[in-house]
Amino acid sequence: MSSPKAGKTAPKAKAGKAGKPAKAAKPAKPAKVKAEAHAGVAAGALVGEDKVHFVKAIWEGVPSSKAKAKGDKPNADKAKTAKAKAEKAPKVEILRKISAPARVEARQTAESKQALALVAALEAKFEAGELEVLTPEATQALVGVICKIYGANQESGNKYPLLSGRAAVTGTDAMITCSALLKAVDLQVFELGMWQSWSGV
Amino acid sequence: MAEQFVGKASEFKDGDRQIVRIGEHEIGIFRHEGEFYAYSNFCLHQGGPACEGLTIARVEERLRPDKTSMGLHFTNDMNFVCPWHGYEYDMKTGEHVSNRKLKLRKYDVVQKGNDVYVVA
Repeated sequence: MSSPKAGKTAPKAKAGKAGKPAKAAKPAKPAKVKAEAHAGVAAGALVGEDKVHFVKAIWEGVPSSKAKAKGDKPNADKAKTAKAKAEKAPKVEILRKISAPARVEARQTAESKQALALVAALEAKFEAGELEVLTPEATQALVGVICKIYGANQESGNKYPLLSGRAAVTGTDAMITCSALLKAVDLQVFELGMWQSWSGV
Repeated sequence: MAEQFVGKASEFKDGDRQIVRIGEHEIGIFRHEGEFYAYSNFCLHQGGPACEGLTIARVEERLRPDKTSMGLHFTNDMNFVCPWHGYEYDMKTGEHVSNRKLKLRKYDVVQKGNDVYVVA
């Protein structure tokens, strides 16, 4: 009887062992197992170095086509980045060129030099507070001759501004002098306006 | 900030100006007494073209000890004037002449041989 018992028990025990799959009970590192299984199945036909590359590709992933292009053409990539940089860099656009104001170059005469020396002397005395540096007769004579010379030059086409940029004559000075000039030649302001509109001066 | 080529020094006569756009910056470049100066072309007052107006010597009113006027005089310092409303700036510093706290943005100008660069 013992033998059939033993015979009975033995297959039970075997069945019990077989029903408990030890590896299946421990689900440790499922990803690795899966990957190995993948590699095992797919790399079955591969041998040696190819197999290593294949497993590596499974673990690390396959590089994309863009990445391949980067790796294959480093110079082209550099050129692209340089081009992009150049596009980003601000461009210089010349909007306007403004030239320095033209200077009137004229032939120097002895009288001009004397006049400039006289003006310097008069300015110095005026700055010192000497208002009567010129007598009325001298002032009238100077203004008169300057009016004639300036008017004749303008009419002959030799046009230049009456005052230079550094004369520092105020608007009030100019209006007082203009008013006195008009009065001296018996002209009204409206006549000046009329003449300006007719002549275009 | 990078050096941007703006022209040849030989193309700038003394007193000449050039208005350039570098990216978002509009800049006026002056040559005055052999030196280059570059300022923002946007007036601090109302955004007018600050660098495109008259260049004029600074006007001073000299006073006697009793504070009476000796008249107006031009100094040797040069200013430039915004053509819109007459804001006047110092050529060498870009400061507004009557309120030195107001100052146009100044750009460095580098001259390498005959080439002129603005750092912007």
